[in-house]
Amino acid sequence: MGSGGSTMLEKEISDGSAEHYYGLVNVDIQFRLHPQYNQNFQFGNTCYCNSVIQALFFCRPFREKILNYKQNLRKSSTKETLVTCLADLFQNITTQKRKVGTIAPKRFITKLKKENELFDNYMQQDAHEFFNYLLNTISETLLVEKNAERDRTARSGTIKRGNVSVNLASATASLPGENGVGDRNGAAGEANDTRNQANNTWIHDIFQGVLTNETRCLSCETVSSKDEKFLDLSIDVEQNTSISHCLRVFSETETLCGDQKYFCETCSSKQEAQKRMRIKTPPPVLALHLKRFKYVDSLNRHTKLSYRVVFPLELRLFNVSDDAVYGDRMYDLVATVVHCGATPNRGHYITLVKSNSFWLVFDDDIVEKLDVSSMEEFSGMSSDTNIPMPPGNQSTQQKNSESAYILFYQARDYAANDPNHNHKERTRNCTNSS
Amino acid sequence: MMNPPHMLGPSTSLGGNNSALQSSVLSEGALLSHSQPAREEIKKSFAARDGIYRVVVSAELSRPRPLPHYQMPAGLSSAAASQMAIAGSTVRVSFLDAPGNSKKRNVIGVESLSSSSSHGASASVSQDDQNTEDVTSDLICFNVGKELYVYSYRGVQTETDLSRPIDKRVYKGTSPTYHIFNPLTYTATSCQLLIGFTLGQLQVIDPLEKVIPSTVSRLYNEDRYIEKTSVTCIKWFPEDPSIFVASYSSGNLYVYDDKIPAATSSSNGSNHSPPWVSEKQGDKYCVYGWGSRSTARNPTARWAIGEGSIHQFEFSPNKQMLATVSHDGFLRVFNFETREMIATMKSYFGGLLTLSWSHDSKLIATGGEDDLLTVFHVPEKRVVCRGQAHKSWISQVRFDPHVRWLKEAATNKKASTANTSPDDGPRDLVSHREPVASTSSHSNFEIRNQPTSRTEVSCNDAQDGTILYRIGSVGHDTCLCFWDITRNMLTQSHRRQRNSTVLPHPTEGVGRPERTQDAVIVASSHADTQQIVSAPLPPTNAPTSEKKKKEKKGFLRRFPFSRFSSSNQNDSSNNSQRTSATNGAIANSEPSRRIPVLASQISCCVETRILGTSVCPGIKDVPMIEPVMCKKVAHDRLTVLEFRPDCVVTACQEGYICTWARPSDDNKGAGVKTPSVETPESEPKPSVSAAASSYGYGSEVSNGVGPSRSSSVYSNYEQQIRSPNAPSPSYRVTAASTSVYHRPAYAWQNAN
Repeated sequence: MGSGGSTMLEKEISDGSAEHYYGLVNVDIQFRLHPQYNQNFQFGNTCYCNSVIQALFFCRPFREKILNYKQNLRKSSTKETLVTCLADLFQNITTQKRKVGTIAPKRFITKLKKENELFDNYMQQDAHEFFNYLLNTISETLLVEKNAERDRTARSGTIKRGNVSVNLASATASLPGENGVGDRNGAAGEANDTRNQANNTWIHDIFQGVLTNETRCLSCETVSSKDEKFLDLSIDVEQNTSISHCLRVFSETETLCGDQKYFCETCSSKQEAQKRMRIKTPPPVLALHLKRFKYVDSLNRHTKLSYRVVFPLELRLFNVSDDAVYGDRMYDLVATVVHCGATPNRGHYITLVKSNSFWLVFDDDIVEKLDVSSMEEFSGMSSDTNIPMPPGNQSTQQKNSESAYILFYQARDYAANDPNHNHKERTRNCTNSS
Repeated sequence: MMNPPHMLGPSTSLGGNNSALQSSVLSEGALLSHSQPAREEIKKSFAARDGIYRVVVSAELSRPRPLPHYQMPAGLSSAAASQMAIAGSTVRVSFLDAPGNSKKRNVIGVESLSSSSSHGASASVSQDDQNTEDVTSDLICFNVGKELYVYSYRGVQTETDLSRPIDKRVYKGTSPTYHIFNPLTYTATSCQLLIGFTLGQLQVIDPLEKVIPSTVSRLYNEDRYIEKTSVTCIKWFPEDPSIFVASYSSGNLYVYDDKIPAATSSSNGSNHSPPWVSEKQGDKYCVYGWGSRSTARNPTARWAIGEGSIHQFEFSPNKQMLATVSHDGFLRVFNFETREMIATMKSYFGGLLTLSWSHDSKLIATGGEDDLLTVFHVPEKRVVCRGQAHKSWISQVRFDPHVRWLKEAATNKKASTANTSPDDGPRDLVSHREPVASTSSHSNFEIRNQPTSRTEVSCNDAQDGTILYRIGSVGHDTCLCFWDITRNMLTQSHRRQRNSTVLPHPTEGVGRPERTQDAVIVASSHADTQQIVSAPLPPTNAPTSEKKKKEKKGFLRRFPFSRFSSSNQNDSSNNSQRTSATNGAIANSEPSRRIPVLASQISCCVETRILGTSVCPGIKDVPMIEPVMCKKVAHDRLTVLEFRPDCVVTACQEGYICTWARPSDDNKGAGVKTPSVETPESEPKPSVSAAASSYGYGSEVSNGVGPSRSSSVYSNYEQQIRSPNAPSPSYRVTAASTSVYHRPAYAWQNAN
C-alpha cells in the first residue's frame, strides 16, 4: 500500500534496527472518501483506534506479549477474537519486508465494531475509552482462556487454585466502554492475593499499579488504608502546570466533612476525616490519562480543556506512599496519544512514539520523524491563546490545540528486562499467517 | 491598519464563535481569558521577607504592536501575538549597563547580577567614577518571535516610549533565540550585541551604529557549516572582550574569537563535517580543536557535552569555572582553562533547563523539568537542598546579589563576628554584593578566605538561621518564587542515615549494564557497600546526623505530603498512631515500611546507581525547602528573571517585560539609594550579635512598610527568623498570610 512518501523516512531512520514503522490507514476515511459522503465531515473516524494501537505497538512489553500470544495460540482453537485480530495486525507489521509503509487494520476494526456497538459507527470516539475497552477485553479474553486451560488441566488430574470470576480494577471513571467488566470501586483491593494472582494476566503485569487510599479520622487519629488497583490513572489538568504537579494534586489531601463524613470504625460514628490517595506500587508501564474533556452542565456537552500541561521525557513520582514499593522508579516516556481539535467527538488523534533514539509522529497512515525539541508543542495552549479563531483561521486553532491526552511512561528498570533480542528471533520464526 | 483599536473587525468574526468562547469561559475558571478586560487580574505587587515589590507600570516593555499580518479584532490581538510568540523561540532579555551612570544610581556591577562579566566590567566603572553626568543610558534588548528590540532602560525610572526603539530588527526564516551585550566594550557611541538564531547563526551587531551598511556587523556560522541546530545560550568570556561562547541544542558548545575574521570560519563549501581533532576527553564530554593545522580559525574550540541540548551555561563569577545544564538532566561544572570536569549533578528527573552561580562561585542553583529548584555546593560536590513550589518546569533561576537585607545583615554582623574570624561569612557577603569593589585581586582575596569562613560557619551553631543567599525562580507555571538559603542549610549534614540505601544492593541488578553510563561517577564501592556516604562527609558524621536532623526541621519538609498529618512528619515516632486500624494490610506502620523499601532497591538498581548518591540524592536525602514567596506574575509562562540593583525584571513568552521595584527604603528615602549602603566594609557598625541582626532585619522591614495591616505578615516572618529550630510554617501558611495582603484572587491562586 501507499509507500510514496515513506522512502524519505526510510532514509532518515536507517538505524540498522529491525524496527518497523507502519502507518495505519484510517479505514473509515477510506469509506468516507466515497462521493456519497460529505467530504467536509472528515472527522469522526478510526484515528482514535489507530493512535492507541500505535502507542501500544511501541510499548514494547505489550507488543512482546501480543506477539507471544499469537505464537502460543493453539492452531486448533482459532476462534477470532479482538486479541487475535490485534495479534495478527502486530505480526503483520513486524513481518513486513520494508521498514516503513502503511497497513489497513480492516479486520481489527471490523471485529471491534462487531464486538461493541459503541464503536459501530463513523463517529470519532474517545481514545481513552477505547484504550480501556481494549485492555479490559484483552484481559477478559485471556482470563477465559486461562480458566479453560485450568479446567483442562484440572480434568487431567492436576489441581490448581484459581477463581473463575473476572476481577479487574481500573482507577478510571466509569465509562460505557467498559460494559460493567470488573470492579472499579476498589473492592478488588480487598480480595485476597492468591485469588487476584490467579486473575492476573500479563495485561496486569504490565499496566497494573496499586493506589493506597489513606483515611485519617480527625477524632481518634486512626489511619486506615485500603489498596486499590489501577490499570491507568485519570488525572485532572490545570492550566500552565506539569504532569508531575497534576499527579501531586491527584494525591492531595481532601477533608471529608459535612454530609461526606467518614464512618470511623474506632469511634463507631461518623467523623470528619482526611483522605488522600497515593501510589503504593507504581506500575511497570504507567498510563496517564489527562482529563481534558470536561462535562459542562449548562452546555449539556463535553468541552475540551486545552490547558498547557508539560510532560517530561523522564519522570519520577512524587505522590508515592511511605511504604511504596518501587517508589522512586524512573520512568521514560515511550508514547503519547495526542488529541487535536476542540471537542471530544470531533478532531483527530495522532501518536508520538519513541523508537530507539528518536521520536516519530504517527498520523494515521502518515509517519514522520519528530524533533525532540518540538515535543513541548504538544503540551497544550497557554491561557490567553485558548481563543476560538475566526472561521477563516480554523487551521491555526486546530494546530494549536494539539495536546497530549494519554501518556505512556515505561519504568526504566522494566525496560531493561525487556528481551528485545528474543523478540526478533521469535518473529523471524513466525509464519506469516495474515 | 496600524492601530489595533480600529481593527475591531467584522462583528461576525467574533459572533460566530460566541458559543465556543462562552464555553471555554465557563469551562474552567478565571484562567481562561479572551481579551484584556476578561483577563485574570495580575497583582501589581508582592510581598517578600524584605518588603513589598511593586510593578512599575510605566516601565513595562513589549513589542510595540503586533505585525499587520497578525492584526486581529481588539480582543484577539494579544492572543494572536502570543500565539506567534509561542510558536517562536523563547523570549529573552539582556541588559547593558551604561559605563557612566551606574555610579550615579549607586548601581554596583555591570550587566545583570549573575552575568559572567560583572567583574571585568566593573573595572571600567570605577574609572568612570567622576563622570556621573554621562547621558549614556542602560540598554535593554529583548526578542519576541522573529523580532528583536533594543530600548534604553532606566530601571524603575524607565518610561519607555515603545514607538522609539533604539534598534529594531525583524528576521526572515530564522528567529533570534538568545542575545547578550558585551559589557566590556560599551562606549557612548558603540556597543556590541551578540545574537544567536534558531538556525545556528551568530551575529554581532552594534545597535548604536547609525552607519548603513553596517561596518561592524559580523556573522558567524553563516553557511551553517559548523553547526545546524539552534543556538540555546551565548556568553562573553569574562576575561577577554573578544572571546564568546555559544551553546547549541545539539549539545555542542563553541568558543569563538571575535578578533579572527568571521570569514575564516566558513569552509570551502565542502559537505564534509569540520575536521575537528579531539583534544580532551572526559566522562560524557569531549573538547575538540583544530589540531596541528590550527591557524587562527573560528570557532577556536568545540565542546561536546552530554546528551541532548545544552539549555544554558554560565561562567562562574570568579571566572574560572564554566557550568552547563543539559537535557540529559546533568549539571556539569568545568574548569574552563584546563577543560577538566570538576563536578556533576543530576536532576531528580528530566532535563535541567537553567542554572545560576552564586556571587561567591560556591553554589549553583538549577531548575528544570522536575519542577524542583536544586542548590548544589560546588566545592563540596553535594546537593544542599531542593525546593518544591513551582507547578511546572522552572525556566530561569537567579541568585539575587542585591537584595537589601543581605547588605544590612552583613553590616550588622560584621563587627559581631570579629571575635571568631576577621574574614567570616558576612565579609564574604559584602564583597559579593559589591562587585564594583572587586578587581581581580579582590576575587583572589575571596578565594583565599573561603576556608576560613567555612570553618567559622560550621562551628558556629548559633548563626544557622542567618540567610546567606536569596534565589529567585520563574517557571512555566507563570509564578515567581523567592527562596532564602540560610547558613544551617549549607552546614547541615544532609546525609541522614538512609533507610533506603544503606541496605545492601541485591546482586540482581548490579551486573546490569548501566544505560546512562554515569555509574562511573559513582565510586564502584558505593554500589555494593552497606553504607553509602557521600564523598565530602566521612562516616563519623553519622552519629550526629540525628541531632542535626532535628535542627533543620525548621525548613525541612520531610516528604512532599507531610502536611497530611502532623504525626506523619515524625516518621521515626508516633508509629502507633499510624497503624492501620481497620485493614489487615497495615500499609502505614513503621515496622513494615522497611521491607518494601528493600524491594524497591531490587528493582531500581539501574537508577539507584545514581539515585541516592551525591550526584542525585533521593528525594528524602536532602532537605526540601519552601519558598519565602510564590506568586503568579504573568499570564503566560515566564522565561526571564533578572535581579538588578534597583529592580527585578521578569518577562513572559507573550513578550511583556515587567520591572518590579524593590522594597522602598523609608529610612533612606525612596527611589535612589544613598551611598551609605555601599560602604559596609569601610564603616564597621557597632557590634551586634548575629541573632540580633535577624531581629534588626525584622524591625527594619516594619519600618520599610508603612501600613499597620502588614505587621501581622511580618511578625510571622520574624517568628520564622527568631526560631530557626522550630518547625517553620509551611509554605501554605506563609502563602496564606501573604494573601492577607492582597486581594482574594491571590488566595484563590494559592489555593489552586
